Amino acid sequence: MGAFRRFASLFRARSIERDLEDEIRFHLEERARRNLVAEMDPAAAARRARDRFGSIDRAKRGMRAAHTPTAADAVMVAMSIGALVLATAMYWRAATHVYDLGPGVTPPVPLARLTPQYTMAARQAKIQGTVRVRCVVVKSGVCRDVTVIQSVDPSLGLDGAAVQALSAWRFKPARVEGKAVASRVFVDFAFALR
Amino acid sequence: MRQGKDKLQGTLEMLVLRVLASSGELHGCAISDRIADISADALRVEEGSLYPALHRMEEAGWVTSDWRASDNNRRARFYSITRRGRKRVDQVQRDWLAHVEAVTRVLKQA
Repeated sequence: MGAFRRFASLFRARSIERDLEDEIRFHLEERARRNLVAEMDPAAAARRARDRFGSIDRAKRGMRAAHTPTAADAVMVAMSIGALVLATAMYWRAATHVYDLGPGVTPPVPLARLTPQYTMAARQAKIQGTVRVRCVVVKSGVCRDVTVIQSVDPSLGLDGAAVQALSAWRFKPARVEGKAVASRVFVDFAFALR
Repeated sequence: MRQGKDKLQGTLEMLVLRVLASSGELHGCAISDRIADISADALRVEEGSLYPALHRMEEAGWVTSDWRASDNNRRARFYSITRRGRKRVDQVQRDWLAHVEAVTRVLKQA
């Protein structure tokens, strides 16, 4: 703790300087005042106060030195900052990592599904086939980054219908060691005319 | 030489902590007077050396300071002892008394 305070004192050098000036000035005036009570004349009282104080410069140097960070303080502060950055990076990575399904990952479970509807244009053009869509199911169970992986016909709206449908799905998120995690999910939407 | 200086500083710190432990909040001038009074002027510190010691002890967490108005209404820095400071002075005082006792024994019997 002391290391941090001494380090922080580098940024308030001016207020430290003002405080130590004030402190020394108060001391000399207070000492002179107490001398005066002992029936000295004011000039003599002030002179005696100065004599009893000794070197003002030495006192100031000593006071400044008390607040100056040492090499050990610098190492301590640098290491603490390093540890903090590392911990933040690790936390961030763990919090944002997207898992692919595989061993050790409990897959997400769809809770609400929406079936994509044929568009008028695709129906008229008699287009059929499967649109494969990928998304990231985040911890809250919603889909992000919904992308078409395998298209049927980009111009007549089936790709868009598939993306729109999956965007509306809600999942129970995937789990790793019991904790909800973000996972990558692939869904096939089959479009067939009856 | 260096060791002698450290010893002297340690003594000053011990006296200051002991005075603060018994007298509550004091500014530097009053601390100096208390030490001089109690020792019947035998221990009159060069007052300039008091302040670096106070600031070091504040950094060490043995005392805290607070700017307040003095009794004649001037802005002054008042020091008071912390719990760690009390522990520290008890320890240092025990060591000091043991040391003095040992030296005294030698002086009497040698």
